[in-house]
Amino acid sequence: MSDTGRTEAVHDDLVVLAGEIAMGLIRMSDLSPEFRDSRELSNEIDRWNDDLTKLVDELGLVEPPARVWIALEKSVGQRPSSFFRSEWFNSIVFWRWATAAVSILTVIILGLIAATHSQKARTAQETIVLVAAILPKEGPPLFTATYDSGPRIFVVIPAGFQPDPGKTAELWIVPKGSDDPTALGALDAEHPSKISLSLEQSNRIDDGAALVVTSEPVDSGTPDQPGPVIAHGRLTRP
Amino acid sequence: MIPSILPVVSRAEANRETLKRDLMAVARGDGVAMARVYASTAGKLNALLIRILHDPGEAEEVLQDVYLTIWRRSSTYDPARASPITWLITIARNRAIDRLRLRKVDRSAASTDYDGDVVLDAIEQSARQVEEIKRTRRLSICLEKLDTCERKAIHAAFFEGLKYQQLAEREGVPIGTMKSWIRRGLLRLRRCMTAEQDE
Repeated sequence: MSDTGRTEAVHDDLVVLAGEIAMGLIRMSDLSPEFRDSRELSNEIDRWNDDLTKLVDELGLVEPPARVWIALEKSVGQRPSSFFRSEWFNSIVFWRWATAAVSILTVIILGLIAATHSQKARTAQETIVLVAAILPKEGPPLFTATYDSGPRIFVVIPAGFQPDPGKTAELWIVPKGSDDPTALGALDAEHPSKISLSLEQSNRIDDGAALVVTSEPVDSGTPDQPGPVIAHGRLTRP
Repeated sequence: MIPSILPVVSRAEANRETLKRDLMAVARGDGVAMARVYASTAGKLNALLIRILHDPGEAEEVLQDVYLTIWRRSSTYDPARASPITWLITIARNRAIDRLRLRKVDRSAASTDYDGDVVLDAIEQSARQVEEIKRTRRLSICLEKLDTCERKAIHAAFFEGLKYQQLAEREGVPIGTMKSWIRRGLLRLRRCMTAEQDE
């Protein structure tokens, strides 16, 4: 056998050994130290792990019941997002009242916010990324959201959200320290939604802003007032 | 101005970096990051656990255990070695296989049928996941090129955690034959995937 052939054969043996380890057919602890410490073997195992996990894509998604998350919270000993939960947040009456009450002030507030943020934009060109888990009153998150201030884009990913018949989910933003929700658009229950914001809308988004998801009739267009609150979360830096 | 809502090109693309950052945040005890990790991965891990354990109730228990492990050990995740989802799947698979071995399940009853249609459906449904789908497709195409005995053996080893001896007994072949099937299958799989990648 030529040197090249021998080298290929050795490499093939390494590839197979790495595959056997990745699948659990052979344990690392059964190998001699020279193999256990081999960087090349380690890289091949990582490669197999990466390739073989693609088998899981065949299975699709099966969202677990909410009790798994609730049990997990109990085991961990904390409610991860409890700091932003409060009763008024879940009150439809509050939302309707707040929307009407602040409508006159909205123009002034928006103007102030826009002015403040325009100033910020001029003085600091930093791009920020904010993320949020959007949770119902009880149970696991229904959506996760990521906001990139550069292109001014929200990506909202559903996680087991099931809308009621004839209803859809609407995303709202409430700036930190404000009671004024702004509709950002409807959310897809099956696929990630990408929401491009106007400059004005993006100026309302900052670290600590709340995201609220409400239930709205299908095909009702952009609602003037929020419907029942399904879930909410707070934007934070990752 | 009415905001435009567009489909996202790649869910995986949108998630990968966030998931990586979130795992690092979980290592610092960030509960909200934990909620995001759970929301974006629980469906996939649960599907895997049900496939391995054939018992949704038991899968729930293991799933909870998997996320507790993630909560406690995310500091051991090394982004240089594995993508975040690979790391999570490896934990889930190992936990499920440990559970299988504990309960000494009647492995002969477990199905190892390889369903090519399921693979194709999965491929079509995830058309947005451009890069991910290429890799999944490569794996599917290459698995299809293996002999049936090789493909079934690799599937059983991955999804059921069976060892050579158990695989050989179930198929009624000598252990040497089973080793040949799997080793030949792995090598052909790697060569095929490398060739497909280069095309």
